[in-house]
Amino acid sequence: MKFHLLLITLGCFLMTACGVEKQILEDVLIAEIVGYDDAGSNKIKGTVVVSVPQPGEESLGKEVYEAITHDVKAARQQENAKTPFPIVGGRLTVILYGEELARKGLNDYVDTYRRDPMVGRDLYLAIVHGKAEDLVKMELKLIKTPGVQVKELIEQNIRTNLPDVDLHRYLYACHGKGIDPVLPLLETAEERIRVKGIALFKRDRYIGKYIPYEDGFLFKVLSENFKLGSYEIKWKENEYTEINNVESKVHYDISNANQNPKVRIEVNLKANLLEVQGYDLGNPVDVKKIEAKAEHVMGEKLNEMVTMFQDNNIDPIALGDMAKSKTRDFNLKHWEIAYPHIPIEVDLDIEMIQTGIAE
Amino acid sequence: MKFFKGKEETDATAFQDNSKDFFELLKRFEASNDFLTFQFPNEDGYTISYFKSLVSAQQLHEQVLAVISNQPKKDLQQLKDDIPMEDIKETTDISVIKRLVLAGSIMIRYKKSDGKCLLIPCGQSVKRQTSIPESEYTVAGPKEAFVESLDTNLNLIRNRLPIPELQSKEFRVGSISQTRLVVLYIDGIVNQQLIDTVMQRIDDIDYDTIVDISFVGQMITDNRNSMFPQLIDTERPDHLASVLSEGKIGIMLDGSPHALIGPNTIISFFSSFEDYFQIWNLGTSFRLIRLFAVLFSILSSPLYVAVLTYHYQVIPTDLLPILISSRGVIPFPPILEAIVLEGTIELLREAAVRLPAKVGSTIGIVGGIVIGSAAVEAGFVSNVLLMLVALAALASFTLPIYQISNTIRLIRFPFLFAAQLYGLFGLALCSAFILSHLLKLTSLGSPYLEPLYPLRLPDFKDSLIRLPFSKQIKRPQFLRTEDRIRIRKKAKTQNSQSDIDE
Amino acid sequence: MKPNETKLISPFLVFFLMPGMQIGVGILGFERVIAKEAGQDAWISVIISGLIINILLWMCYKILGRGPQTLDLIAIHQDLFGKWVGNGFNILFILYFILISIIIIRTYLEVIQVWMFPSVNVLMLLTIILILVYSYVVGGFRVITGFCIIGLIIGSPLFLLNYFPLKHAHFENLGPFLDHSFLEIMKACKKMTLNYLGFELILIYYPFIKRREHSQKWAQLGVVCTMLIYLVTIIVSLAYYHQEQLKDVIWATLTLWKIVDLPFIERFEYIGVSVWMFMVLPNVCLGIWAASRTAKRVFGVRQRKMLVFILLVILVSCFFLDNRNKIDRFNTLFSQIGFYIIYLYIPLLFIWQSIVYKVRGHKP
Repeated sequence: MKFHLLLITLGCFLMTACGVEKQILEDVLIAEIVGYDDAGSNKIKGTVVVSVPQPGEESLGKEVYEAITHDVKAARQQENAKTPFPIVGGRLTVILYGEELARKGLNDYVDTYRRDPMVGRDLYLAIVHGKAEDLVKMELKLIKTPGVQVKELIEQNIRTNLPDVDLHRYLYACHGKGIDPVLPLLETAEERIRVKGIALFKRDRYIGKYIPYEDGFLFKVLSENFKLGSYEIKWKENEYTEINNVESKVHYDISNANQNPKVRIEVNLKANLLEVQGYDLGNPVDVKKIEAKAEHVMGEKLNEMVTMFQDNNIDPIALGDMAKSKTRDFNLKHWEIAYPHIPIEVDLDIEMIQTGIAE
Repeated sequence: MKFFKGKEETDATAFQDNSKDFFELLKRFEASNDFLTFQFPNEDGYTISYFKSLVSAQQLHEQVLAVISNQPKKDLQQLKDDIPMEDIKETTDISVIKRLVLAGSIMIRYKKSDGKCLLIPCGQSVKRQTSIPESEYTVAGPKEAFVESLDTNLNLIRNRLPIPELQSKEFRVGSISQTRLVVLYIDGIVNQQLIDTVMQRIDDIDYDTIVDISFVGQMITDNRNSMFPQLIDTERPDHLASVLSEGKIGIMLDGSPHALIGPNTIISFFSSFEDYFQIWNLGTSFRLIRLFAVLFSILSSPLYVAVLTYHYQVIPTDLLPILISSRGVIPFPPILEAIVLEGTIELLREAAVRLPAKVGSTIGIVGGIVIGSAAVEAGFVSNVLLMLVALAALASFTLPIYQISNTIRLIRFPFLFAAQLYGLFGLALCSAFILSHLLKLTSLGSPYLEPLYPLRLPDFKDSLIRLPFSKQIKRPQFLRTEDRIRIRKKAKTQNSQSDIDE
Repeated sequence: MKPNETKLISPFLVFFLMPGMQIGVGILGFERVIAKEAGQDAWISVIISGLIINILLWMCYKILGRGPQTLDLIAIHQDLFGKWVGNGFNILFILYFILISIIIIRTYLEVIQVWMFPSVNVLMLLTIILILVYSYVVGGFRVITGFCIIGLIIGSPLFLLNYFPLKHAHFENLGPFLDHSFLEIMKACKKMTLNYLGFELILIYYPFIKRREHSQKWAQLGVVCTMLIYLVTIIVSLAYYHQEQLKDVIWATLTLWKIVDLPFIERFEYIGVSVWMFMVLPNVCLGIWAASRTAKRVFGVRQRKMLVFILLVILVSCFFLDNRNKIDRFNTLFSQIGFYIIYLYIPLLFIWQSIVYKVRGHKP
């Protein structure tokens, strides 16, 4: 009986051998970055960077393939027509969208990646100021360390100036009610890739406005708790100094969400700074003065930013979602109508700690 | 005992059919050239006959011939009293004569035509000195190993366990070889049912020549088709002595420098006896390392095949370029690459075992360095896999018991095939199949996977981990010993919790 | 029909049998279904239905404990309803156990199809898995119990993966507390039933437990343990996903594993799906074992033969369940059946048995 069992098992194993398609590592082209652009007349242009083994060399080469089609899946197929091996998307690290395409709405072009079980969730999405194609091609020219340069760039900046946005976060914001997504905005500048700022969205549409890179820190302070980053404050004419974030905490206080909503955002920032001309950092009175000044400068900026969100009727800091989770029988319709006119007050409290090693 | 008697009876009757009497037997003995028969001290002295090859010449001269030559001819009964040797038999029973003469006794007859004879045990057998254990060598601990002589081996054990409860039951196995086999256990500790099972199984052995204890092992295990050994084969008397006092049974065979131990759990195959020579926390760590090594050894190359064939997604981004560029030039799919390399390693291992020790070590170097790097240079295998396979081979050498390391060697191949067919899922399937086998397996009737299943938490104290001796108060549960307690003295009444500086 | 003394299991192993049977393929995607009904309060319904299961389990023990200690459901049926009607019920239960097995095995195969091998030959894979199941079930109840325990041991590290989504978790998503009506929460409870199914197998394997009357506390603890595991999973999912987002995620727990990012391995779901086999197959084995044992008792055929027959039935029926829609419909149907069996049938049997024993004035 046992022996028969063994035979049957063996037979089945052998028969099934042809049932599963293989994806042998060197027989597939692993896509690293893909960019999509609007190509007019309802078509999109997909550009993909794949890594290609270089015979006899330790490092990998990279190649670019392009295709113009109606949707994302078809683009991949067309690209395959030009490659020796199929392109696979299981290790995709960054998806870039051209500005034009983003203005029309990204849902159709993200959806494929949301449904595809092969795609991971630690995948960054970004908008390109201009054409995504140019930026994708730039990847080839950048320094040849292992890894994907665009991804490293985004990852590095997420620690300081960009909100923590990956595919999951984008989907979270895009599907959720009372919350709008944001994505990093990249651009090409002199043979380099640069973060231009944070692109603002209304649902899946890029509204054409963005928060500049320098103010990215402020947005981050407003939307999440984090520990790094720095912000440059202008004291007087031609006199700037940088304060370094040690720890920032944000708390939202939403009252009366179903009738007359009122929002108070409390930000607590622990910061240090090295020097300010004309002030004595050893002196508690001076430190208080600096704190007050910084609170004033930054608080103003923060309020401006929030007002800008309201003017554009977008909610990237998820106030609606917050209100929903704090209110019984939350009336979303009412909130959405009321949102542009809600009094939102940003209360910034800066505490200076540690001020360098020299007095 | 039943077995021996039964066999002997049938043998004796068979013999009687052939040779109706004593002289027929003598004739058959004389057909061999090393069987001597002569008259001593003179033409009408006693008739002495023996196998020259079995008898100690010194004893013959000093204790037998010297006594006979100085005295007038007496009858056999008196002669028996004169000769200063133990256990002299006077008999006409042909079956006894045959057995004892073949065991090295000297046969003395009063007259050449007599059927009655005196049998003086005077055998000598070639013995080896006890030497250092080879397959179970430990740095610390005793350096004695069993030898081929059963009596020496019993001596080694009795010296370690000087109690009357240590009992040995002797059997004879093999219809031709009539090899002596001894079952050792400590009465009052060991489970009686266990002894009955073992005796029953030994009685059931039916084979012509039993040369080594491993024959017995294969014949008395629960599942004779299992790749997993169920009885441990040890060459260390200290090991045997220590498990006997745990309540296990030992089996030894004359002519085999190993003893069998049972029942065992799978974990005991991964624990070296050296674990007990070290402080418990070190011993535990090394055990865990060994367990990890086993898993690594089985799974590393199948995982490589599975991941490279199906799941490129799970490779970390920074590792990806290294893997792709090392695989880029290889003409074979990962499975073939892995089989080629694993096959090479198996070849090397087999060759190194067959060759004499001095040549064997060169084979290791030639194989490891020359063939390995040449294969990589030639683009036959990737250097990542070479590293993995070499590490896996190294990991399998950490196993202290030789039998299980053979199992681990071979079990890799089904895993490789499963990985090729269904990737990671295939590996899970394959391990589930093996688990189903292990769950059903028993060793002398006790479950093989204990203490994992049946789940017995107290038995973890000396399985995956080894707790200090003071914690080993009870004997392992799975042995169902009659006396469960190991440490009689009660733990000192808790010295009122001592505080700092008190 | 009394099982051999050496085939019995210790009472505390029931603690492992409960989660071993209840946690299976359901946990990979139950969040969507109950969050649809009860939103952020879904976790409350997980607790409530867990407690209801505790009560039902108590009833099962009562039903079993009233008669002589060696009775199982089959004998109780025959005793309460007479041989013919009783066996009718028994046959219904055989079908039910087969259904459980089919639904679990087919859903798991679908996970493999979707997540690992889109083009896999399902029939072949199924055959291999059924052979595997055969090799466990012929080992008897003890071996299956062992598989449950070792499966839990192998699978339990996967629960630790819940740590990774916590970095991205929004615990405010759980508020406001109790914002759904009682009805909505109860609806979610009903949907949750399917995930707790499996405890009723105690009705069949009860005679296989040593010192049976002591096993109840372990069984209850086992159910509580199941509930805690579900609870942690749903809370993590609710915090990680937006509610609206969760409605679209079919395999929420599996998708969670995607973000696990260890230095030596990424995309943990591939390993997770494979290792999860050790959580899923014990369910199937136990279900098929129960079906074949009941069949043996009813028809008086050797269990080995019944086993082969049942495996063939499963093989054929899975052949017809060949797309997502059918599987989904089958799942819903089964959820209904399971619901009636545990919420309606067990209490009814409980009451009927009390009445019969009262009227008869003695026990069988």
